[in-house]
Amino acid sequence: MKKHPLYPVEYYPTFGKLVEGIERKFGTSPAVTIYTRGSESYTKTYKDLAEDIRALALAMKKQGCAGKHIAIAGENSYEWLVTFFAGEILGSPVILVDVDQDLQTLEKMILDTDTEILFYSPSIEEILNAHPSFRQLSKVCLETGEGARENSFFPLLERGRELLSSGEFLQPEEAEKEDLAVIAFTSGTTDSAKPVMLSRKGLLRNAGDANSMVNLQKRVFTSLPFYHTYGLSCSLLAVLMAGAHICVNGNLRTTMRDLQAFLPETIMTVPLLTEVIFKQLLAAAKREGLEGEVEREPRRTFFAKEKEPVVSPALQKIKEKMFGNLSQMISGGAHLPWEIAHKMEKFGVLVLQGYGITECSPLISVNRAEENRPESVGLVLPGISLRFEDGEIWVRGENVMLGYYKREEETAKVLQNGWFKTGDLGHMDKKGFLYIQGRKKNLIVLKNGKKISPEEIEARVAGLPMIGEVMAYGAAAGSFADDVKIAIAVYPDPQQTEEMSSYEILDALQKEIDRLNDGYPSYKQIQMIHLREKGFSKTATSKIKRETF
Amino acid sequence: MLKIVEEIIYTVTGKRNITDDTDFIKDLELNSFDIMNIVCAFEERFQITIPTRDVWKIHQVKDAVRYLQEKGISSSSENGSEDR
Repeated sequence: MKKHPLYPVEYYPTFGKLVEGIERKFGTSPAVTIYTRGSESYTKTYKDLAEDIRALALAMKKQGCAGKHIAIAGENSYEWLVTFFAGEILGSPVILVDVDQDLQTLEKMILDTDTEILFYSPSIEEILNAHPSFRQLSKVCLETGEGARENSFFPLLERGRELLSSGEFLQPEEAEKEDLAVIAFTSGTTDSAKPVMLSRKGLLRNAGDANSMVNLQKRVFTSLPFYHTYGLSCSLLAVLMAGAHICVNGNLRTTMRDLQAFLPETIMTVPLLTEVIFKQLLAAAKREGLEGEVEREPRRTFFAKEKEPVVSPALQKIKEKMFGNLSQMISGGAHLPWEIAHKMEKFGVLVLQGYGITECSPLISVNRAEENRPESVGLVLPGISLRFEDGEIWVRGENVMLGYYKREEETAKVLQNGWFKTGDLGHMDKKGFLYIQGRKKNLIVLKNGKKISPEEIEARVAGLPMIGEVMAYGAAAGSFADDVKIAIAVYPDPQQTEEMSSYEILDALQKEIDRLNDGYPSYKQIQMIHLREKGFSKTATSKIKRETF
Repeated sequence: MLKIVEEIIYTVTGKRNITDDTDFIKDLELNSFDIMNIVCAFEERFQITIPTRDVWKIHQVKDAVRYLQEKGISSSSENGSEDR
């Protein structure tokens, strides 16, 4: 396979230079489109965006925010991204908070990272108001529009605009001396979610490197949350650096609606949405009697030099009717069954799988339109060195984190002379394609890209009555091998359940689990209970041997 | 009420034979997209807003029915059914 040259990319050393650069290069081109709940949409150009970022940064500076830790706890929105860039050009480390968390985790994420100013979504206002621990923070609600309250985004932005028009200006370059740009969290809750410190250089380099591998095209749709680094670096920073028009969606309820209204050429997503789109295309093909066409393999006749093209014109027509010019999907966060990528290609949609990890800002490798092996996670990015230690993938490069925030011991365990130990097992083929074979650490990887640590589930369950021993795992579910749901295997406490039948134990346990599930989003809920008659085999340190189950 | 809920689930997911005890994830094997689509259909039909954190507490059909009733919705108070 001939190596295809990298795409030319303009790299930016600071966020200030990035905002300046994209305004200069793409000015009046559309930058961001957002659909509101009522299906109306609004679009901001690169110039609008840059002006709003400068205005907000100036207003924030006047309030004394510069250099202080700023947390953003909100779903994707225009306000979110303006706040993020404003914080960055003020030299403030921005803490990325996943709003789908329980109170305890929110507290840890926001308070343990020394946050002083919190920008929050109205969806978590009730929780914030109900708990005294958040009172000490300056808070700004990411609420916009007419009638927004005094301490919310819109009045702050207006103040900044007034300051700008009165001749004040901002010199962002000075502020960006601090290398810490972002504190993002690895998967998990409370103690298991680690605060990852990412550098300015690392994030900007990673986003640029991503663009050198993949041509994003003109219209890009993302539903990836910006509070995860995949969403932030690949679907926000990289897309804006490339001057593309991005449709930002932050709500599963409106993902398909927005997608079909915006009609992108490229979608940045996780296997879950890739599969949803595939299933819709497949159902449409079935309705038209074209199911066989999806299954049919391209033939090579005796006289023809090359195989017939993979794309089926009839299937492509179906795709165009439903999704317009969609021609590329970048899928990451979890493994995508290669059969889906293969069949999507027949509809004229190339699915490029990539691999990343929060601690690496996050992208490590990605397939390219010109060099694509769907069963692999692609070629390693130009700025990254890779090596294998006992099969484990180690990564070195500017993209590697500065460390875990205030957790030196944990940092020392994974960083060694600039090499980050990913905990993932893999190998590389002769052509440089990387393959992931498993994980050294225990993680249940879900199709939406979220990772759940079994230990976290076990800790959640261990306190319930009747539990003797418990082990959490990902149980196979659904039509593909990668479909998993969270399951627990329980050895009931013999003393507490002496008089009970298995059925009674299971029934009582189910009620407890239902109650426990109430506090978590559906993907984090325990879906299956398996009762065991015997305890688990243990290691010398009395830990359950997972591999024996 | 169960009938209306059943009808909404059928319209969104194409799945029938729903009882009070039907579990959205375990029995109907819905993913988070399907669940949110059902939530949207409830919101549109009854002209209410269902916060995401409330959705976490709805596991079975009977939870949905109870939730709607707590919001003051009865089978006679549905809105917008003529649109469907």
